[in-house]
Amino acid sequence: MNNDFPVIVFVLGTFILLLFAFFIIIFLITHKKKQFQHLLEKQAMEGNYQNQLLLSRLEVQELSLKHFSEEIHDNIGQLLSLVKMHLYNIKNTSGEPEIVKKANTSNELLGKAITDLRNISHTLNSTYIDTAGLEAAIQKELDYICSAKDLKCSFHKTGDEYELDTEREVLVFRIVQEAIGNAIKHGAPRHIKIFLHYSADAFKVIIEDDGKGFDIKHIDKPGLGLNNMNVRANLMRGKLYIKSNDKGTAVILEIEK
Amino acid sequence: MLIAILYFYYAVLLSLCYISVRAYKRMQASLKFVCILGVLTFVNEMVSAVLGYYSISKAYGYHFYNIVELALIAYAFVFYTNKKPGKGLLISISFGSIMLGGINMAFLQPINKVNTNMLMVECVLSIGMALAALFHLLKNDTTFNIYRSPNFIFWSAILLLMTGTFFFWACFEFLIQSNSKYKLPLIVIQVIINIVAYISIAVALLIKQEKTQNE
Repeated sequence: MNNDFPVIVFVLGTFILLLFAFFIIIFLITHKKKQFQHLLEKQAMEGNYQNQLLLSRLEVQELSLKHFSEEIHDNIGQLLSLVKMHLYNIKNTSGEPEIVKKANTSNELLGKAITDLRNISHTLNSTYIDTAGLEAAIQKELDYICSAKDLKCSFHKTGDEYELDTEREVLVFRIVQEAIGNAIKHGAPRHIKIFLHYSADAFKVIIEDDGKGFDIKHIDKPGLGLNNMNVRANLMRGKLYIKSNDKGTAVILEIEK
Repeated sequence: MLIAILYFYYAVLLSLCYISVRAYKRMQASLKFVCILGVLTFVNEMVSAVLGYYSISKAYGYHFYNIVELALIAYAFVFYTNKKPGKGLLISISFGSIMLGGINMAFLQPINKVNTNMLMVECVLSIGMALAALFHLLKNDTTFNIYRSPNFIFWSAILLLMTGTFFFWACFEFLIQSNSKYKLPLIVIQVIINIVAYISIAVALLIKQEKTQNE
């Protein structure tokens, strides 16, 4: 027994020290894991907060657009209709051929202005997108843009069509609007093409133009329009790519079904 | 069995030496000392094996090796916890290690006797440094995937090695002189602890380092 006493001390001592070392290492691993978990939660919370903030901003923007749309439709539209009615009366009551001719021309121009305003009013109003559907709204926007800016526009659709929920339809439509607006403003295109592709797991929109394009790498700070497009795509958990060269630009939006 | 384990131990040390040489250039300052330690450990064990083969006391090598080992671990520690340690501190570490080894050699355990006192002091100091380094890692290191942190693996290995061998050196004289039936199994366990620790250090040196705030 006496002979083995140092062996017992050795074994017990080593065991206790090793246990202590293991405890320290396990504690460290657990603590670091908790730290990592905490960081992930913090990042998720920050992400959610940013998303909520962006969502609120877009909601305010949608409300403003709706308000403009209603103003155009109910106020300016009504006034122009009244003007058209008065012109019609002038044309009927006046016997002078010169006045009748001018009244007719004015009437035609006014009619076009009323149609254009109605189109603008519709595309600004998210309720219209909900009622008419995404495709019809995009078609309407294209028709209006093409007639107003004297551009060639085409619309293509592939795959079996299905409906997206209203919120996503509005977001997709606003991205399309922004992309068309950017193309006209910066690219001076002659032809704008829009492709909608419905597949079993994803929905894709491509807005393509034959404008002068731009160098994506040399955009130091994306403008508000580009930023808004990205924000909207992120809100749908979608992917937004921009391809551009001197032959034109393509904006590609891909979202899960 | 002991012979087979010893051969495996030497193979592990040879691998550690090779990995240390290969990894040296890409390592941060603190781990460069670990690379040097890896090479020196292999060289020391080889020298000891040769001395043993010619029936010369292995203690000669250990007396000098332990001075260098303690200094290298201390350098690794100060370079890990302190971005730019002062020259004074580095000189103090070198001087302190030589003093400890020298005093032991001159007054307590002569050069032909195994320097267990020095080894125990080294264990205590290394355990302290390992605990402080792990605490530093806990507080300051931004590496969240701890398994990818070479510093964590190295200091854990040092903690394991030193806690596992402290009592072995305390009871070394007794174990060598006695005819206890536990002598061989205990020596085997010690070699296994060494193998595990050196494999861990080799793994630490193999990890491609992630840049962290304190590196």
